[in-house]
Amino acid sequence: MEKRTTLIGASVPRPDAVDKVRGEARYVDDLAFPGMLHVAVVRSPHPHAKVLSIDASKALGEPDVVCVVTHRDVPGANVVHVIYDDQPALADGVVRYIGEPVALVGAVSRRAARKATLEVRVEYEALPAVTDTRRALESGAPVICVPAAAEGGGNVFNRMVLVKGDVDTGFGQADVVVEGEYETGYQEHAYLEPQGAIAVPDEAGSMAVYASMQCPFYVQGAVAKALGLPLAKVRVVQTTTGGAFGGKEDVPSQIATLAALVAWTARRPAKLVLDRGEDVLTTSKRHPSRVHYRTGAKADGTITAIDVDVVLDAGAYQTLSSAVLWRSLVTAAGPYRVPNVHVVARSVATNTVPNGAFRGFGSPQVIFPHESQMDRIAERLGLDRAEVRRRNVLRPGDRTSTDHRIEESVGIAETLDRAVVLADWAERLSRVEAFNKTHADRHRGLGISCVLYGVGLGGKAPSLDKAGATMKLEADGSVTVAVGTVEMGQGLSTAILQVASEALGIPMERVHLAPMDTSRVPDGGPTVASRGTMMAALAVLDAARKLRERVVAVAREVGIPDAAAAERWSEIARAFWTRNVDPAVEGWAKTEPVSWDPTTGLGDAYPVYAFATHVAEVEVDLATGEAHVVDFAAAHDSGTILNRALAAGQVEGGIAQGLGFALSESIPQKEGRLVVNGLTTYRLPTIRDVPLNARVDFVEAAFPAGPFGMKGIGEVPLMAAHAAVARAVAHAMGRDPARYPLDPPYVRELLSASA
Amino acid sequence: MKVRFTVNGHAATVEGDAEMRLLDALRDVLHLTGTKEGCGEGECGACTVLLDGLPVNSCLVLAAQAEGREVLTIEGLADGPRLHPIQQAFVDAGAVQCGFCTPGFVMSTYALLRDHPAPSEEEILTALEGNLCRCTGYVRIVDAVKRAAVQLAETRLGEARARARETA
Amino acid sequence: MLRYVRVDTEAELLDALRKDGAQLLSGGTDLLVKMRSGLVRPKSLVDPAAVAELRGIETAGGALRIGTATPLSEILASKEVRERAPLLVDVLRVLGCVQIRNRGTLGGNLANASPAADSAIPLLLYEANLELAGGDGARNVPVGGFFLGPGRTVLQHGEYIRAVRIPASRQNWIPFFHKVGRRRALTIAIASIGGLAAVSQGRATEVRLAAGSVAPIPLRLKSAEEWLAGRALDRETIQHAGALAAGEVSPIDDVRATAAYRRAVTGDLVVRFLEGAAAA
Repeated sequence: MEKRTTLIGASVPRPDAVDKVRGEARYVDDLAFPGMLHVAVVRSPHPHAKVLSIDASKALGEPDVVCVVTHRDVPGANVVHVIYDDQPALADGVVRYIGEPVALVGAVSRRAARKATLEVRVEYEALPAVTDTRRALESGAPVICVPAAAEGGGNVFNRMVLVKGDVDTGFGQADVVVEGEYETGYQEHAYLEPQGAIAVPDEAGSMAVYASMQCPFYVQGAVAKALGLPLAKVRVVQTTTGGAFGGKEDVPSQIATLAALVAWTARRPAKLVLDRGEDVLTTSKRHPSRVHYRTGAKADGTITAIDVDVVLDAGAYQTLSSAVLWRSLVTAAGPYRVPNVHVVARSVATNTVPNGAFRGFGSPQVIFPHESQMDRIAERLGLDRAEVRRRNVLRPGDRTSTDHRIEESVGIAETLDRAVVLADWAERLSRVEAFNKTHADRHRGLGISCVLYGVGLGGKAPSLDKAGATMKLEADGSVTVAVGTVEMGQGLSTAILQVASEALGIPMERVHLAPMDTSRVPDGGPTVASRGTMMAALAVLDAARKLRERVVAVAREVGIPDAAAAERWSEIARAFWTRNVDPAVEGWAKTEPVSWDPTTGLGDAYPVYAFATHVAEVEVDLATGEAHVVDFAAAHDSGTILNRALAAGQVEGGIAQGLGFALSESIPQKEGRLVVNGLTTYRLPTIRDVPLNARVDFVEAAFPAGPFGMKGIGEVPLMAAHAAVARAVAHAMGRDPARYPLDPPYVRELLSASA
Repeated sequence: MKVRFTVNGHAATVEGDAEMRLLDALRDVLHLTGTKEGCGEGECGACTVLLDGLPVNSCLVLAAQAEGREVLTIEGLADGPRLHPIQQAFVDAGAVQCGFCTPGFVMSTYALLRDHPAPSEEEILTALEGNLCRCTGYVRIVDAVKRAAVQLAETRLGEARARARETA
Repeated sequence: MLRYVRVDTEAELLDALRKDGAQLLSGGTDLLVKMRSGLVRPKSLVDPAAVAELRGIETAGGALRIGTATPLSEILASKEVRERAPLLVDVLRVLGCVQIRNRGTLGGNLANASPAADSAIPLLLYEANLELAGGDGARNVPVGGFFLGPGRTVLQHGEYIRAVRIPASRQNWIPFFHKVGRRRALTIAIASIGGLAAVSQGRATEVRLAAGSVAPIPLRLKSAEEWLAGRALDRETIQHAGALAAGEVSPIDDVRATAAYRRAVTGDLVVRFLEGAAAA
């Protein structure tokens, strides 16, 4: 592990914040190109239908309309390339969800484009729609997905199993068995900046794309495939990205493909920025889930077995569902030592908007159950809820549910201890009890949750777990760095500058991070799975080592002692230039190979795991069922923290998103139609809904293979927060909720049930 | 139709139809793209500007309604390369992540601290409850407002001292 | 093609509103959202912001007259309103947010006729009258008689609210307002309950109750009020009032909550209010 000095861990202010507070950061909708068209999308009003005809003649006669694009105009493959290629870029013959793109209008203004979509006449013939997973799994249900994408047969996209030990034996050893059925609904990312992309026809028949995104290389691949271009002819530039949370992992591939199809047809730049309502209604969300969970434990609280059945509603197309499902599978046991494990996980196709990545990626759907089960075991055995967790959490040398023996960087027990101290757990519990005795109309409750998160893509997509960086010593001694993962608000760019500056031994002000451009760095995989900073930092460290070697050699040649290299950096840089020394290096990083067996679900699922424990206190109005969070404590093990303020910012933001998921955020779905109206009826937390007094700390169980010992953090806070809040409400009500969100009507329903 | 108003102290004339929102006039015609459109329905506050000194959602104001009035946008706060103390406080407090909501928060804070130089926590929450942030959990935003209040108070004190010295 | 018409006098306003497809543009905080989603398609928007008769707050003794186009933030800041109609201030404080209150108006909130219109609750409780103009002549309508159904009011074509008149009322009201929402700010009420109680030596001299989002229109809960008048606020009386209140509303199931929930919450919040008033 690299030696850490003062810069690592320091709360260095983010350099990109300056442009942002001035209003000068350029997001995609702030950009314009000469001759640029605006794109609007004609979308299916049916959950499942045949497309009989498309008549664009009237739309083409509208003022300012330049072109209408349908599937017939797609020069390459008519797909949104993600994993299975089952989703067409523009519907060809069949539509499978409300909002599916059918045609595109290119016009000189946004308003003209949107108005003209009403004049594109599409004739449909409705087909029977299947809009919930129970129906989709019935025998005799119509198969509504592309059969080639349904590896599980029928409407089952994927079916995965994990078998460790023998659950029958395990339940036989148990003194108590608890069993529950848990459901969660949609969660919308609600990044403040809606999805958008601009495609710009470039030299020699190539295409440039500027977009808000997490995964420029995914977009490059998708646009190349739809246009039938070699990858080298598609250049993707990430614009300042106004939040993503997984929502800009796969969806930008669709948005950019649609913009590129208009740009290609019209031979002009084309911009597609979604309206907020359109964004909420037609882009991916967190998979609704149904989980059946059975847990056996001995009288001392030790878990002997779990048997879990997971069903995720994938929506109409595969997109990322297979990867999301995999994480549900291998995370189902949580951060606990479980000798006998049986998990079956299925992702099921329905005629609804395709679901995709959202912070936690299939894990929150199993965390709500595993933490509920843990509390129920504690209750049955009369044990303290923190204590029962302490008896089960993974310790160094233990094996995870996938039988992965983990030796190092296992800090879950420390996070539990720390969170209990931060929350003043025992004392707070007695205060809560006293409060409830003296208040007839309000009750308080305390909840605790522990989580495990496999960092990176692990056994599901090992070929993506890599990263590249380029580093160039300029003649004046400044250094240009480029990496292949992106800044989307989380603070990657600041952390990368810290790491580069630390590794080179020069002040941060001398290092500049270049904008993300696929033509500048090799494909380093996606900015997902809490891997972006860790992987890019490893690549930067590799590049810095190489550059340092040359710096040392050049310094020696010009008689500068190594000890003076930092202060005479500019002289050395000048010497590179005068002596024609190559000033550019490339760094590369990849994770250690993982071994994972898809038939048993066993193996080393991930290179490393991050952990957290959260404690939430809520207050519930017993008449109305309104619940709000009054106190919060969070302890995380993400290895070494590169920048404490940024890491705490991730945690604070994750707490807010998590409590939103548990308490207020949901979208009803009726016959394939999402009943939501932009942000007016989708209730994300406001400044009055969050615990501004949250106490956040890090236990830093260093990961030796990570940069300065760090592992990932981004997703973990949300994962732990929602369950702590839900369990706090359960404690206040004396009842176990079976579904999210715990909105006022549902909490009141729990109350009447317990009365 | 033509609308004339003042933006950040400069006269502006904007030509458009009756449907044009103040937000469109700022972004599309005057190319002041610091004001963001997050929802278009007055829910998120990303498009907050001050109209005659009062924070409004510029997506819910027609350009025509700004006729003859004064508009202050995020571009009007900094003094050249020098950030306004509120902007500096947002940077220093770590109140900025993706940054899309930031201009709206800064404008709401500007109005708050003008009316309440030493705001209570309740006054801060009231001033900012119409601005949504999805990244930060708001913790550091509240911190930034408090820092800015202190900074502005120190600046005012310094100015008062300087004036006192001049008159002395 | 949409037209924007700014009027300077009430005469111009009357004239402009008579035109086919004319729509009064108050604060625009609801109207512009509805236009954007295509729910309404007016031909002209008539902006009365410069018409003096529609703006400002006047007092006459204990009574208030609030111009319909007065921004909510101005009402909220008014010392006169705080003294004479403190519950209106309590309610406006949780209506929307600063940005909305700087544009939104009482006239807009009322004319919109949402079953969830927050401002209707205190105005119903204070028994406010609406000064209407522009129809066959000026007329006064009590707020309780203004709403006909969701989105429907007694306003005729060309007619508008000129002002809201709040009569002088007791000084010793015990006020109550609870808006149930999925979050603590910027929320649309799932149910809202407001009340004013005058209590003397444990006995209810007068109680007024109003509820929103629990019926097609915001309404007073008359049978509970009548039951309470003059009675000692003991446990049984309060419970019975709660049951009467719950029976008096006619909520619907929608995506925010069930009718049963709304009915139950109405009763429970009335009970909470009365218990608090009895203890005060």
